[in-house]
Amino acid sequence: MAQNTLTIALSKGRILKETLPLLAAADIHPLDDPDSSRKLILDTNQPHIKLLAVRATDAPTYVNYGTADLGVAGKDVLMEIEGENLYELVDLGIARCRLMVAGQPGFTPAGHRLRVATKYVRSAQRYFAEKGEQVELIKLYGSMELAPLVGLSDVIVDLVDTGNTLKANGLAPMEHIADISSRLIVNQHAYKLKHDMIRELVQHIQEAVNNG
Amino acid sequence: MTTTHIWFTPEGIEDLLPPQAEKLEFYRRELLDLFAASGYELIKPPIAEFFDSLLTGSGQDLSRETCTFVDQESGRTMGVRADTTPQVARIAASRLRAREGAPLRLCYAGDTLKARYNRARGTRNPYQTGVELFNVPGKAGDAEILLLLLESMDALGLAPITLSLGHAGLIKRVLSECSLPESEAGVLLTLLNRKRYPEYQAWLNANLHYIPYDLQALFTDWFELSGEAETVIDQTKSLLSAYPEMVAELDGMLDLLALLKAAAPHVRIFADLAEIRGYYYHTGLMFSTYVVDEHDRALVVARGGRYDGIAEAFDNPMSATGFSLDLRAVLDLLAPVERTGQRVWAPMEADPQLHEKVRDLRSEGYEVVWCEATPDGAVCKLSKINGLWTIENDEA
Repeated sequence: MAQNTLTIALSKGRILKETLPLLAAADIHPLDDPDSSRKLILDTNQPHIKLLAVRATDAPTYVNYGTADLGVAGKDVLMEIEGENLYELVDLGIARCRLMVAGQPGFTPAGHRLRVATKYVRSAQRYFAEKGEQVELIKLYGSMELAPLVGLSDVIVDLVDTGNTLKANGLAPMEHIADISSRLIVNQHAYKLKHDMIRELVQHIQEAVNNG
Repeated sequence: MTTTHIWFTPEGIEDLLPPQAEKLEFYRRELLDLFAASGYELIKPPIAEFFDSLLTGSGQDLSRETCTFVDQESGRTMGVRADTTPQVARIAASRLRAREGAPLRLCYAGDTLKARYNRARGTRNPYQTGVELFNVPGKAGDAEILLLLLESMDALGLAPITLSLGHAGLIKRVLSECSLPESEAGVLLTLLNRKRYPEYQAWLNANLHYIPYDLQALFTDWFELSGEAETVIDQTKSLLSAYPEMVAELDGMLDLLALLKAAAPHVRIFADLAEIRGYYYHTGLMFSTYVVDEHDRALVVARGGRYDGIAEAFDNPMSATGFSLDLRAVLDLLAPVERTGQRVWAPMEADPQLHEKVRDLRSEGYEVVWCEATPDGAVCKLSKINGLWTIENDEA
């Protein structure tokens, strides 16, 4: 009951790799190599700071419940959740990409309600609603590019990085919805209870982001 | 098909079984005793009433949180309360002497129901326990409620406590000094709500021309205005020095801090003057208390604040502040409650002396249970020895 530990939820892979230099700027170094370790709770050189290895889409859940005080989550994931218990303090500027509408070049609407296949249901719905357009959403978990090719949907809403996957499947980006990058998120209650520790960490990370 | 599902309860709705239910009841009494000892009178608003009255003077959020149904008697829409505060305000404004402008102290404890289940935010069926103080405006009322809030944390055995202060009135006044279009003010509140600092910086650059020169420094540093309360308030005072009325309000907060520190020196007091939780409902000082659990996880316990806006809603010149907490949500944080009464088994016989003895034992604090035959493993039982009903203790 000491209010002196900090737990940070992040996903292994690209986000962890790009976050480690930022954590290093705050003098936080995992004791085990995160890539080879099978541990899900990673100790760091600072005994009171732990890292939790979670799935990228789960990071906001851990932070929302307060199980992790901080976390790293993509803006794409944050736009999909209703999490009211978290703050989005820093744009880490990592894992950058764009959320876009994509489809077959030369696509013309057939007249029926536009069918949109996506993993990002809320973002897609909000985007088309703001344009005043009601669409039919088809929730998919992956391989979105397939949907327009086989007639499951007219267009897709998906993350676009280089655009190579779209191109390889004969699709082209059509409309830009949002720029995506990873954010440092903080549990609202932890922000109050562990304020000094969190602010110090945020400051170091913000500086590292500004200098990087 | 099995029939197991018929005794499943809806999502987020849970039975409380013996040790837990007794615990809730124990702490409910502790709180209500404390409220009574502090001059607060108990009221019991109904579990359901007309939807319109349930929402009077509350934020818009409450309408989505309220379960509704059609009243078979009147054909009007009824709702199950999702929050007790508007009910207490309605009663204070319409039925009690708050009409005459005299101070009124009310407390309550009871079930509420949320239409939607926000798992990370707590239970769907909060057991809301709280107090409301009417017609003690400004600092005096804020201080009384905060002192009672901290005493309530003691009554629950919760420590160490962090008290967090915010001020919706101050933010409302800052915004009223700006010429922000309504849509931009809405965007600003969304950004503050999630502390979206990156988007906030972009927003500020685009909207700086709406903000008076004397307030621009505050807007630039707004996200920095959280931390140890005194430091934050001093910092904010210097940023608002062109606005004596707001500086006076902040001085009032400093006086309050001095009082709280004298009354509860161990409580850590935090302030976040960019906090806008409950912004639409609250009009002045807002506060909440926090603790950590055994996993060092930060949790909110109680919330409250000033909501003088109800005066308008009820067309009645009154001021109001108060706080409440969900006993069900904090139950796991509270120390277990032991049953203290020694169990005694009593044979069910037609002997007036026996029945008198049972009544006496119960009033002395024993837990006396009737039996036809003393069950196996019973430690204490009543036996008639030399013509007198006596407790026989097998352990002795």
